[in-house]
Amino acid sequence: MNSLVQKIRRSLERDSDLPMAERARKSLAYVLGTLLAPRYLREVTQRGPRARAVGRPFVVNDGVMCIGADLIITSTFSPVELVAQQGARLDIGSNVFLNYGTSIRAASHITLGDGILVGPQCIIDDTDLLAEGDVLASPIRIGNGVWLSGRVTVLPGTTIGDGTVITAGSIVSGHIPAGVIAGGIPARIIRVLGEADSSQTRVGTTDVAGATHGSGS
Amino acid sequence: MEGPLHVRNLGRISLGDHVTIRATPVISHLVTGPRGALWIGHRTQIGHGASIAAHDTIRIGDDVRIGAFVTLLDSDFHSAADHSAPGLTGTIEIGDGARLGTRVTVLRGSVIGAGAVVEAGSVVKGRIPAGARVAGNLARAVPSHD
Repeated sequence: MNSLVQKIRRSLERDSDLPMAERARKSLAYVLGTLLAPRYLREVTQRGPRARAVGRPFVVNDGVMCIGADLIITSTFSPVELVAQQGARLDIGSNVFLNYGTSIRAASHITLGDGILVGPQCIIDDTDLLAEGDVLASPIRIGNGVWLSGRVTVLPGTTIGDGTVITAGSIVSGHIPAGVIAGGIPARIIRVLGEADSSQTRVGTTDVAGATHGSGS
Repeated sequence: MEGPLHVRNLGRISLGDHVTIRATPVISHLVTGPRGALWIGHRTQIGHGASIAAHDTIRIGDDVRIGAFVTLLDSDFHSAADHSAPGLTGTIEIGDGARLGTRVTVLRGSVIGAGAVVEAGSVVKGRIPAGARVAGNLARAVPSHD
């Protein structure tokens, strides 16, 4: 209960420059999202507490889906899609944020670590459709604290190390090491995350309506 | 305007004359933050499925043609150093007569010159000169095939 109060307090601090009406609207959406999450996520095999689902996601679980605590799914402008096919496994850690329009589809095994941010309209799909019509599935593993920007596509067999940032619109394949910024088509390392990133100055507001920054730590 | 349009305006939105924003078959949404401003010029057309979020300033000129599923974000929303910290923001400007293809993403602080053409699927960051033709992620000038 204490951590839920902390979450609410942090959200209110972050939104202190929004007009009252907007804060009220968001609070209502968050409360509704918390109340409806168990229903929206009822197909999930195993799920931690304090999930929040704003807007209705699309969840189909014919395999095994395990999600940690403090999940935030925002389906405001288009639904977040979580699909585990028969015999497949989708593991998602704690404090994960999935923004609208993102699609995660598992035919073999997809693993997302803790504290991950997934921007809008990302695609994480572990299947390749081969020319002959056959389907080849290769596991995907995304480490802790990774940030996928908007419209990132993660191809089958990809692994991304802890703390890495993938820039908008990238198509990621192969292995991306931990602690880097990578991007492009195909995604390549742009630079290593380091001291320079800690000195970025704050300029503007933080929220896109209906969504939240949910790393929650 | 065709179809329902989703607008959440906490800042200001200013539309010129004869602006077309399509919202079918996929809804478009315009969002401004409390300090955000969105300006759309005369006779500009925006395709369906657009995601336009102005937390700083987005200025779209006259006679601009924007394709479907375009994303204009003048904020990074997150910081690479600390994911719960706000990201950098920067004004987006799209000059008169520019054309953006389907599923183009325009990142914060980008300036697209008048009459420039951004090919489908491109990700724009930085400055695109007037009249240029660019493509890719990140968008770069397309070599001419003369």
